[in-house]
Amino acid sequence: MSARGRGIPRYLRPMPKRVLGLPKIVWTIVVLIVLLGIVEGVAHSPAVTRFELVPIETMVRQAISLLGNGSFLKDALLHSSLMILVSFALASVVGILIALVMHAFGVVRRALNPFLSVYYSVPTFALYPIVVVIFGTGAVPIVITASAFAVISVTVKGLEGFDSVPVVIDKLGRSLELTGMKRVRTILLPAALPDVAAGLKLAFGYSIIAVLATEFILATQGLGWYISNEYDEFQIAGMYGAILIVAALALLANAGLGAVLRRFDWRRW
Amino acid sequence: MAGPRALVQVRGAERHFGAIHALGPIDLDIADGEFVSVVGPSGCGKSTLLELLGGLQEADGGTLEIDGQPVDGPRQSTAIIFQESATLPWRTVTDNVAFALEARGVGRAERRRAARELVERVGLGHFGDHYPSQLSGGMRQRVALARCLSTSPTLLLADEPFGALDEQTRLLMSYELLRVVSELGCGVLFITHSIQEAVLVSDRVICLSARPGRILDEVRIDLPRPRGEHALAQPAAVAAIDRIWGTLRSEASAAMQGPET
Amino acid sequence: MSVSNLGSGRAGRRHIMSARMLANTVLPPVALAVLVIAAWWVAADAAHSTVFPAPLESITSLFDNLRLTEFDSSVIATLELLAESYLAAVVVGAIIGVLIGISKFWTDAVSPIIYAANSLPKIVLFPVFLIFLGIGEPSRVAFAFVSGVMPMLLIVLEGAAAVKLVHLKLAASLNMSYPALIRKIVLPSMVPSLATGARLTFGLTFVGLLVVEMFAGTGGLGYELLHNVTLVRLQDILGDVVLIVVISLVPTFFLRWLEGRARARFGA
Repeated sequence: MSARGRGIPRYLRPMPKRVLGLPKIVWTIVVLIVLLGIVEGVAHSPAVTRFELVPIETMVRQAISLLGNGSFLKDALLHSSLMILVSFALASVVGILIALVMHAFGVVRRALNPFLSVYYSVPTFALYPIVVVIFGTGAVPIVITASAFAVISVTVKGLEGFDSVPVVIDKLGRSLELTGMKRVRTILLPAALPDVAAGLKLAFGYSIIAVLATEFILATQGLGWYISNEYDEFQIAGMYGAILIVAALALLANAGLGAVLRRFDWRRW
Repeated sequence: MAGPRALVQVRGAERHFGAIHALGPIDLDIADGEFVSVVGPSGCGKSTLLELLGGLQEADGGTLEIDGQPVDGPRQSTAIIFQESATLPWRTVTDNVAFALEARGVGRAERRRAARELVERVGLGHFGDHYPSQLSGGMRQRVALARCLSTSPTLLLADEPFGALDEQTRLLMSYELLRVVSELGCGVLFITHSIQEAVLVSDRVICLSARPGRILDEVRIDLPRPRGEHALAQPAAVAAIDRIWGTLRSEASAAMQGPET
Repeated sequence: MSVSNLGSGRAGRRHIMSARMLANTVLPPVALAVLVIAAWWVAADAAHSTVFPAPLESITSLFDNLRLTEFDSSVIATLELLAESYLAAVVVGAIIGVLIGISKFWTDAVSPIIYAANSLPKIVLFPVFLIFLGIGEPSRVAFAFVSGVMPMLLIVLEGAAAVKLVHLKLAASLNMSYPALIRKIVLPSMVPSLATGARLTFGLTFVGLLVVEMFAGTGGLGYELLHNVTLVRLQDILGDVVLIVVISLVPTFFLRWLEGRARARFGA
């Protein structure tokens, strides 16, 4: 004699494989198409001019022509990519070193911890004006700002990784007399790899965002500068084309890095 | 099994998860007030059987009846205790115990009164306003037990309730459970990994094979009630443990060879 | 170390820390901060640069600026926009996150799109905001809102997925209705993630706002900051940065405290 006799509560039933006959991935595509459809619809509506929004086909065409444009490739695409890679590399190396030092020396850790935990709440980006005044506009302030923006995500994740070495493994290491650099190499770094990989992913994303933002605001070269320049000169179609390139670049780069880093994530092997 | 209709009647119950045949066919009876344990290797479907009886899963074959009615969803007079105590961390002990009555729509004053009384009954009188995070594992299971008591169930389903506790606490909790069950007079289906625990508390122990779980043996436990301190030392208990282990040993060693199910 | 609170009274009682522990955690960061400021002072002194100011000069120039109504109205403008965009981001992100998060199907279907959108450098989309919303405050608020709402959404989605299965089974065994489940189990379970989301969203919203203020140039702290760059007034810049840091620290500490309380009360 069941109380309500209406069967197993809905929320406990397993997730449906299909809704309205379509599996999840199809719905993802549907949502995407709807969003693109909205853009297209607005672009074609009479209220909107070509100085505000252009159809997707135009955006793609502009993007393709930009990719064929030598000076765009060199001064914008290559330049930004270089800034991103350098910032990312710098942030990664410095981030891990800081994490190692903090892990090794408790006092350093306790000194830096409070600052680390508020780091991303405080707009570190405000650093940019300072370095521009000191170093002028150019590559250096961009790299400094972007690295500074990204470095702490590596450090925080690195520390997590080093802390995650199970105590038993540490004891095993000590019983096998693996100390100092040997310990770092054989126990600490491998154990921390999945977390460090996660930190690197974050840092890469941050590097891209920071480089583009700095170029956008105050620069004479680069993808960010190009987009803001097109906007200033009312070259709206070109602007959208460049935005498309940036979006594609960001997605591909993040996906690519993710694929590479997954090989180091032994938790998922 | 003869005579009055059993509280629980399972005939040919089966459960499949896609291509995997997880359980059955199972035939099982539990009489009013009877304490039945189910033991078996990991993955044999013991928890699945419990959830089928609890109305949390639907059988793919066969019938399950409680009190003559087919199980088609969770029943008001069935109470379930889960392994990791399903206590809500944001509620006090008293509010956790009152949760079942709250779900039924009992008024606030009344359910708090009832809850307080139950909290005393399971020996947590001083901890009524504490939060689960401040309690030990055994204490949290006592909260779960008190919550089950609040609805005066006729059937109690316990899914390895003491699995996460240490040996000594398990023993104490077993006696606690027996005390509570004898007061309630409810039937019990008790899932456990521990053969000794099963023999200590049950009237009957069912041995399940490895997946797909089928009944290999049913052992009647002829020990006097209430079960005393030295119940497990009795010859009847030793014989039962021996027989159960004998049945399960080959299943267990097969499980050791294969991957974790 | 801390007094065990097993059987010791009301929940929420603080741990008693020894004076030594306090010194260990408070002293090093304070010492570091003092060291950095001292180094700044010495470096500025040694450089004898007319451009690079000492700490004191920056603070004085900040206070001087704060007496100017123009500067003050910039600061207040930023604070107002920050409050608006932040609150909107948290509330909207929470509501949409809960609505989608309740269903694993829809969470899985929609998450890839949100993750992808979140990884884009949103600043390059700001011109679109300017085009459609104009140069003034609406475009800046909207952008800051978008900067904050997406991460909030992702965090809340994660929190919804983390509701414990055993709690769902408990509710099911009690024949609890869906609305009651949401009210009594899902939402309380999600409070810690909502608090974490609120904390993280603050920083992201503020950064988003500052960046577009720097770009759009009609008012606000970001505008002041960039303005001073072109005039090479480093002490004003540093003063502004100090102000920005102070403005962000107050809510940060509050939100962290809030998160701590949320986790203690609602977390496992």
